[in-house]
Amino acid sequence: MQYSSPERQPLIEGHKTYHDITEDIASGNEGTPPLAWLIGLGISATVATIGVLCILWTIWQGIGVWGLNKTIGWAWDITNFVWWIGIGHAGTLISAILLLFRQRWRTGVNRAAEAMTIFAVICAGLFPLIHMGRIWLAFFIFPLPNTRGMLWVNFNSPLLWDVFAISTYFTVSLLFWYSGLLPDIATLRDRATGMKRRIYAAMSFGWSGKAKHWQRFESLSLVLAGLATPLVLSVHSIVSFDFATSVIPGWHTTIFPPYFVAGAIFSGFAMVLTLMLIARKLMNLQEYITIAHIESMNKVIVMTGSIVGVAYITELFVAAYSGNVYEQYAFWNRATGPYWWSYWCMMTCNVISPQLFWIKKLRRNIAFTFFMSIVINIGMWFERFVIIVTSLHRDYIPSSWSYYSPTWVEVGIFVGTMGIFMTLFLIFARFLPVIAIAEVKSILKVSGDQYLEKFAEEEKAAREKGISIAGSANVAGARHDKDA
Amino acid sequence: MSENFTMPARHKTWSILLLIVGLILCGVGIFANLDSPARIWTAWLYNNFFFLSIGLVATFFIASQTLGYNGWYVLIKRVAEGMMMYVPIGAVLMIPILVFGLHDIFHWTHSELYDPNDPHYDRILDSKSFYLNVPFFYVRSLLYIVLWAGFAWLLRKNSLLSDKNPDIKVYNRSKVLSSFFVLVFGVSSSTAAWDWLMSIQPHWYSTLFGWYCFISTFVTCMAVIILFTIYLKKLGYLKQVNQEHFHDLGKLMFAFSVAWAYLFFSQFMLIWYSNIPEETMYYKLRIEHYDYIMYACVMLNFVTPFFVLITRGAKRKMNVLAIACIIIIFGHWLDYYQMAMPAALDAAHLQPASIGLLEIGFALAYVGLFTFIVFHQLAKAPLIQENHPFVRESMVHHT
Repeated sequence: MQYSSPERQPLIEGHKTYHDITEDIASGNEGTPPLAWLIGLGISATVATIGVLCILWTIWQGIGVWGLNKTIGWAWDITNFVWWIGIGHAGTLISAILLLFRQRWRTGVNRAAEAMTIFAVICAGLFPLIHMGRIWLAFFIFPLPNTRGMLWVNFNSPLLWDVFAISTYFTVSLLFWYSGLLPDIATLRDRATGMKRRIYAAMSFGWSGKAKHWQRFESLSLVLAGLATPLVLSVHSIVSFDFATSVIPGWHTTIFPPYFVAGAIFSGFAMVLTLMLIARKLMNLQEYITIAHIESMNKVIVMTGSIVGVAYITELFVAAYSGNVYEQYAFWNRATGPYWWSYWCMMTCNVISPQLFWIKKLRRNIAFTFFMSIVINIGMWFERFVIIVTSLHRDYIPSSWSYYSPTWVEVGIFVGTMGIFMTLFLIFARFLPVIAIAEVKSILKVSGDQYLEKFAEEEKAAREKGISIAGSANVAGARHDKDA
Repeated sequence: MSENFTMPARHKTWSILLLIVGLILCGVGIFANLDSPARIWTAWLYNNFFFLSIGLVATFFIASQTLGYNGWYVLIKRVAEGMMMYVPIGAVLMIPILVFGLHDIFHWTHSELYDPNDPHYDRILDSKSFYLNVPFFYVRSLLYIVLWAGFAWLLRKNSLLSDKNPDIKVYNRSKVLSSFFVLVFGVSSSTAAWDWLMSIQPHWYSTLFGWYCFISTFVTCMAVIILFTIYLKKLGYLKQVNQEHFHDLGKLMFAFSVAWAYLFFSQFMLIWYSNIPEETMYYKLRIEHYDYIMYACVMLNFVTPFFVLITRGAKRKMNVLAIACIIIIFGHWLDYYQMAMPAALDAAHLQPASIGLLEIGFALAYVGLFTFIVFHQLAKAPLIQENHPFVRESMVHHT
């Protein structure tokens, strides 16, 4: 893989050497913490504390402090749960599926995206736990041998499948992230002194960069990618089963599994962009997270956004086509009922506005991308709100129709999880490399700007000598063999 | 470097022979089934739609690779283009089926169903008449035919233009064409599946149906691309296509076989779990009378490719791949059968049938026609699009 078409955008800019890459990325983890980081951590930790207090209040008082009622038993809690789970999906997609697809641009963003997966799943997992009301009985969700007689988990319930799906997903994501970190932690170890060195040494599991280590590293990453790929699909599919196995109009529809997965990747990429656009600015990583990376991610966004759009329209159409009046009413109520504003917010943010990314100029515009990433984050939150609340609030019996609005406790918990997420992310960014140093190095000689310039010159020279360009492929092939 | 394909005479004879044998078997099948026109027309419809979809998905494959700026596939791009050029023919062949077979295939087109005074009046179908009405159906079908054939033709024209004109503008235009095609395909692949397959059982509905059909034909399209590539390599063409290309194609075929199983399971499980009569009737009909075909689909389209293709080595060996491809193509053809035929026969009050000479004949005829068209198109232009900006990447495709 020592050739890349000069038509391609460089993925590493600034004529970097291997040493430059180590310096640029590792320096973010060394020295005294910058003021911006301290301020950021202070704010995030404060917000997280508010969230924790609200959670404690919920546990102390019971979930009566939330806005739920008899008709609407799921609202912000499950909306937030699905939203956070979805955000994690970009990390797994980038690290696993794009690895199998041999996409080189993944190396610039995979580390941070994988970290986000883990933190997002932590935030997501909180919600079903506190929604139980009696969190001290949370171990009931596991099929443990017990002394409670016939009390046993319901294997027919998608809620139980969620327990297994999410815990598997979390475990594999954590392994993937950490095993990828090993060579980079070793790099930090070799640059550090004293106590720091000892900690990094313990964390690097004795990585020494031997050929055998690399060989095992590569096979492990392929195996984990193979395991993580079906997990990207299964986790959100099972989350969608929570709704789709029911007989509630607006919930029961067969398109839910793939449509939830597409939506999850959509929102996940939006969150990766939100965070990485800030990180690249603050940590001076513009040469590693280039416009080419941003453009690729925007393409994923326009693709998944359009898939989600097709799914929305399919749902609407099939509701009309089904001849089922309950189904028809559920969708009519979504668009025109008391929650019409959330429906149209979802449609605008998720379907209409991402279409602007078909325009190349906008895909490559950083300010616009940042703005859009926020819009999509909001839109995808509303999508889950629309699905959950609008389907529940008017059920089959009009006498139990109801309206839901959140209380300050629910708002506090949701905002608090953002604080938890940001706190974890900032700690990660401070102590571990936000960009996979070893993996970026592996693409330098094919996607670094100086190498692309070299390929362009060679092809130009060949053209001037009258050698056909395709013919010179053999030259590149020979060079590959020599390098290997 | 430039390679030009000439179809060996005996292979030409073979594909024409296949077409003729298929047509003869078909003729026998038609003669034997003259009392059940629903079976004849539906057999033609699903075969035609299946092979048309393979060509259509090849177009989508090229378009999506173009939009993803992919380089690895350029060496086999002309193979996919050859398949893409089947689209105009398959699309035009849809016309006689939809004109002459309309009432035999599609129960909802019968006018007495919409007359409140008629004993056959169907309230549910009446509520669907905003979409399921003959004029609108024809308008939609015509739109698919024109748009699909048009885009296939434009993309091919653009690709051929690049052989004469190495300007990067030609490549840039292919990106514009591809993005418009992907938009059209994203909507029309679902709606066409609703119109031409789902509406055969008009009371039933499933939001997943369009994507299910798409995935089914995507796997088949990969299998067909691999088979043609292997064939060309065995004849000594495409020397630079190496194990890596097969590995990547095999990966896609493997991944989408699993994706097919995923969608099959999602649709089946959700309908089974909720147990709503309007939805379960689809599977009830199939499990009661066509269970062996449904289970065969799962075995052929998921279990077999999963175990055959899971290892790295299998995806890199042409012979293993070829066997897997043939199984997959047959399996998805069977899947199309079970999506179309049971409901059509049921609506026409005919006994459940199985695969007979009629279906086999149509399949053989279409295989002959399809391969002939692809060979014919391959011979028309150089086998490799040499002025594609990523062609060298495809030639030095290593792990």
